[in-house]
Amino acid sequence: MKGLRRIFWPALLLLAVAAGADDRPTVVVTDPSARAYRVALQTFADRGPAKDATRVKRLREALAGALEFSGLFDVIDPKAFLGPVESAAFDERLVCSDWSQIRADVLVQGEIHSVGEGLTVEYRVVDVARACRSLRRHRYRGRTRDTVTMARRVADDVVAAFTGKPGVASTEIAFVSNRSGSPEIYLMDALGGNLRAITTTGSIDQFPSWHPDGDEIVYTSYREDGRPHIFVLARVGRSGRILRALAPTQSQYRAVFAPDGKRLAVAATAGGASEIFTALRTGRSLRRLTRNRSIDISPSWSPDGEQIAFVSDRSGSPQIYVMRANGTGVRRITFNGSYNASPAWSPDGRWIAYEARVAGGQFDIWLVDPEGETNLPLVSHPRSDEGPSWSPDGRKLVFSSARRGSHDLYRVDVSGRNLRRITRGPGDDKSPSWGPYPR
Amino acid sequence: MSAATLAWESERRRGLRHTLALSVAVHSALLAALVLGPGFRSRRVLVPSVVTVDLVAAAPAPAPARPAPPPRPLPRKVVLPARPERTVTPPPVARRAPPPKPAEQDYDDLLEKLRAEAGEPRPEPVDRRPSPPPAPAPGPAPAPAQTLPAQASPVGGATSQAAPEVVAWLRDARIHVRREWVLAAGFRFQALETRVEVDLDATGHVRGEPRITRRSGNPWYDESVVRAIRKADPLPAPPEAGTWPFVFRPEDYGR
Repeated sequence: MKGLRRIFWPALLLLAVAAGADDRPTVVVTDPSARAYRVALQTFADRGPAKDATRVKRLREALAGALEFSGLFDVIDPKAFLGPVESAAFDERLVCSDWSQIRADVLVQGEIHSVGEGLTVEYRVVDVARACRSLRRHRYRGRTRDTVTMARRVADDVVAAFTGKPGVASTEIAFVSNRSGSPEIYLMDALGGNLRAITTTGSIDQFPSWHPDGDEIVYTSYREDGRPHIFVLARVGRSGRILRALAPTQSQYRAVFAPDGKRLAVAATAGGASEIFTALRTGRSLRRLTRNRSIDISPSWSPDGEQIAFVSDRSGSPQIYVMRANGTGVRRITFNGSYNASPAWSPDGRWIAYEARVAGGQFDIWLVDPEGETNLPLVSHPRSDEGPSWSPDGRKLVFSSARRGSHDLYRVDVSGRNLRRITRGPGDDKSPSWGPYPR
Repeated sequence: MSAATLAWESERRRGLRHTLALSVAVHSALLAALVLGPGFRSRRVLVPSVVTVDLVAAAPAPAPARPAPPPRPLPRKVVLPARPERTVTPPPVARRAPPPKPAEQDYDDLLEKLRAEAGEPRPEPVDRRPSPPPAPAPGPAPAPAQTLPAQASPVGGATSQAAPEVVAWLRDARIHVRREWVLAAGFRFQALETRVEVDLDATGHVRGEPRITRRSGNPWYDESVVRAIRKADPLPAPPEAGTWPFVFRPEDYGR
């Protein structure tokens, strides 16, 4: 009885509060602001025996660039700081008002320690808006030449602290460029730097696609006998090896790794028409999934590996279709427009990005859900946007566009915001494939 | 009364009965046609089950002589996978050829090549669906031109009975908090919803921690909501101090 009495009054009070809130109308907040979190990035303190101001500066620049690349953060100019520009020791008391008064949402502190070729980077993420509570603290060990890589890892971690999923500043993008004359496969960092050719065959190399562990790229090349064949290029290899086990088909136009990395979906000619096949990653155990007189091409796996999206003109015009990975249950998911191609299934499985030819003749990037019920435009331009590929976090897409004359690569958030050009230079850059998270 | 008169009277009554029956039948038929016919149904006034309050109209009344304002633009992204209604504007059929592209990477050419290898003529594109409406306006930002389901009121609860100063505060609070709400791109197309109660003093300062009463299922989304309220502190002074309910959704898609 005494116990009952003890909980009676608090319960009544709670009920009264709840009833009070229920009586009041609700404030419905929708459509968040377009602004990003304002991050105060302190200069990382160099605690090593041999101080290197250049390295500290390089790390700061790389970290700031990677944070802004995420689209989630704006870095505050240190001149506006009320608190110290350089990080103090983590156990030192933080004056939260120094950061809240400059309207910072986030504070990133850190320190580095280098001995010889070894480098240690430790950081802490502070949620200023939540009373400066510490969100994350971590230490990376590497080599001094990995300073930029480590800075990007830190930035990706900061993104994870606010979204639950790391950023993609540490990832890479493979693509096709004819900047050196013939179309070759190139690699670059997701931010656009460190661009280098990974094939130099002088032939036509096309359609790179990453293995899920990032160690291999599969692509199409005409260098063998003037016909297209599938080659696999190890990350540290040179020109790649042909998948000869695919020989029963006459020409192989494109291959993509399944999410488990053990299988390939291949578009290849058989009996005069292009069909979709699956095979082991070695090219063996070839299995034909489609069988008709139409053109079936551009396979893209669902993230669970259970389904494949592809393009077929069986209805008279190229449209996007989805089927189970054993070839059954084929269904069309795009019904509008006369030309829909290049499907790319998002990592979370909720969208298939594709290029759609619209009025005016150009291609725009659209999104359709796998059931074909929701269809919306992502980017549009009077000149064509083509060949979308998803970042591994599913928040961004890279695509090629001729909006400045020749084709360059652009990236955009899935919300349609933060459109940025990421390649420049001579020639056309096309067929981008966004690589997986680094291991 | 002669037998002839009686016969005539009987005949007259029978005639009257026939006339009466005919009249009843005709009137019944007319009444039925009136009640069940399409004309009657088309004149029925449909009363919406939910009356929404337009907060813009809650502002001081405009001068009557002014022309009617243009229709409000539709919100940007409105079709979400969580609401699988086919309310989609398709990319329209393009009859013109696409701009020329390098031969080796052109999809058209690849298809042509395949057709040639297969010895097939390329068929004319056929769209078996009805003609789509016009394309969205070109530009760097997407501008979906999709039909919206009926929009909910931007404020919820018992707004229709709320006093004007309460309605005005709801609007101000919404604008103020929304300005501080930052959301990662990946969350924007998801049907997430977080309900939170905020204890406000008379000046609009947040007392204590906002209390989440219904989680979205995504802790980082819920965190963004609490962060927005903390960042928005102080809010506009409420009509009365106490606990106020808030609901946060990434997009207003007509719930």
